[in-house]
Amino acid sequence: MKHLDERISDLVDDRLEHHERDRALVHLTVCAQCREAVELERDARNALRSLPAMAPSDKLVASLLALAEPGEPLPPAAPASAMQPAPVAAWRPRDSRPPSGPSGTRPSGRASRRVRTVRVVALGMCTTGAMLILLASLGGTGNPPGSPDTPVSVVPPLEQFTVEHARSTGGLPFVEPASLLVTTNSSTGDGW
Amino acid sequence: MSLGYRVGQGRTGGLAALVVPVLAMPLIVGALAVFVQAVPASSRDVGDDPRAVQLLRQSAEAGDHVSYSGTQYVSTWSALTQSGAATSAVVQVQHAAGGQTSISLHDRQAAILDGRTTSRWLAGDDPADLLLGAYTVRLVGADSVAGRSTDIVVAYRSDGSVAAKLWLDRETALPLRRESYTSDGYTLSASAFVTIAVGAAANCCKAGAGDGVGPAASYDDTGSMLRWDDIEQLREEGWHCPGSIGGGLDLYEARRVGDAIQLSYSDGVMTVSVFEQAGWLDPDQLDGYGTADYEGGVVYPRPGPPARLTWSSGGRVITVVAEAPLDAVRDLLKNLPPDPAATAEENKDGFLDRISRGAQRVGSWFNPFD
Repeated sequence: MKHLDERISDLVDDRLEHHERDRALVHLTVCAQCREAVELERDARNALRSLPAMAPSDKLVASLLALAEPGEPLPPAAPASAMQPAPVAAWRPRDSRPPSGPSGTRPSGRASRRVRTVRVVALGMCTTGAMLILLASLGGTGNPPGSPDTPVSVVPPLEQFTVEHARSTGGLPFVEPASLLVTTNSSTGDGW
Repeated sequence: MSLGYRVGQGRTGGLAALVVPVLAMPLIVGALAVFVQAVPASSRDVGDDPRAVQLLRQSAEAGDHVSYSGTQYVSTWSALTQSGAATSAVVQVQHAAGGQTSISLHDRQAAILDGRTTSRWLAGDDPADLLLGAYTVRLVGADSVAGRSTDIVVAYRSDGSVAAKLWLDRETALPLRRESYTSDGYTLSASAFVTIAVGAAANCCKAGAGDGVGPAASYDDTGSMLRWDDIEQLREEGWHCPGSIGGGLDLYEARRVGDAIQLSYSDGVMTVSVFEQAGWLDPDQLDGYGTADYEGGVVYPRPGPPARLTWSSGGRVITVVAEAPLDAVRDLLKNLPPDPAATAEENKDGFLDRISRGAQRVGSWFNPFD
């Protein structure tokens, strides 16, 4: 396994997935370099957590809010208690480990989003498939009433067409309706 | 001065009088030699024989004035195979003056054919014009048919070949015997009266007449006939409806037959019917047809006689029934090229095409102008 590198921060802040965290811990057992890096990261984190709570100035808060929504009016002023920002040291990384016990039945936020995404995609695919099947059934063979020009599969009624051809030649003075004989009852062969 | 000028001009004219004949004589002799050599033994440059034209016009109108009944043999050959195999029959013919013609086969009425008067004739006023416009006609002799004296009129093509021979009754001008040929001399059809009685057709043309065996085909359907205005409308809607096809065959009648448009073409001797249907040909359901490739497309022929062909072309199914040389069909194929078989089957009956048609149908539900 490669060195942990940028994953050291995630490991210290407990932001790795459960299996990634296990692999990282296994790696630490064999890699002194990463172990030292984790120790340094953990010391720095502990040092930060040990700092007293600092409240940012109102000016800084207003500037940050203005950056967040440029051109928009500022939200109404919150109560003083709500305006008190959380101390940096109070921040806790979310727990990505598999839930356990009664309180662990609710999936984590990332997993929840993934499930929601899968559901939306599946629902969309099902809806699209149903729409295509519906359209295909509507566009199936058979001439719908009122749309005689819709392309359909046809088989020419040859015998009827041959009779109609013979009928049309009946008005010509110098033409025999010979094709009529074919469609009734005649002999085919060499002469008679 | 003026006299001198005239004298001088006269001298010049005198010189020309000597030179011009010297130069002109060989030219005239050469032109005569070329002209005489160009005149063939055939009749194509002779023009129509006025007597033959008169006989044909009388013959074309004879059915309006003369009733007759008789026994006739009819034979027809396939223009597709040009083999010796013929389809032949002896038929009983009864015709009422100015009315219908009944044709019976084996004492069974096969059909009642209307005359031209009940058709919407699209090819001029005189029914003989088709033949006279396409061929050069000549009176070539006399003969006897069924004991009656006849004059023989021959219709020649522009290349001098014989297209048809007609034996016209001297008394009534009725055509008593007919033969038609391709340009290479192959016989397409032949018929002749064995017996004929003029003025005897009392029992003609009642549907189901005779022994009452089987249904007779009667064609009193003038409501389905199409006029030129209707044909123009059909063309705007995407139907092809050509006014003429190859071989000099002109459209003389058009009508609706179910969901098809029938277009009838003739040159007075040869006949071709073209049927157009909206859709795509399903070759899997064709029975008895062959397969022929034509410039990347597929045509399904059935030799007959009569020769029959069908193919898909641009959303229409074209079916041809031809009692004519294949020049007419070739021209039709050139103007309405057949689609490849795969295109018709895959693209137009595939799942995507069905989806497309379904979407169009749904769209038409919400289209207020549809």
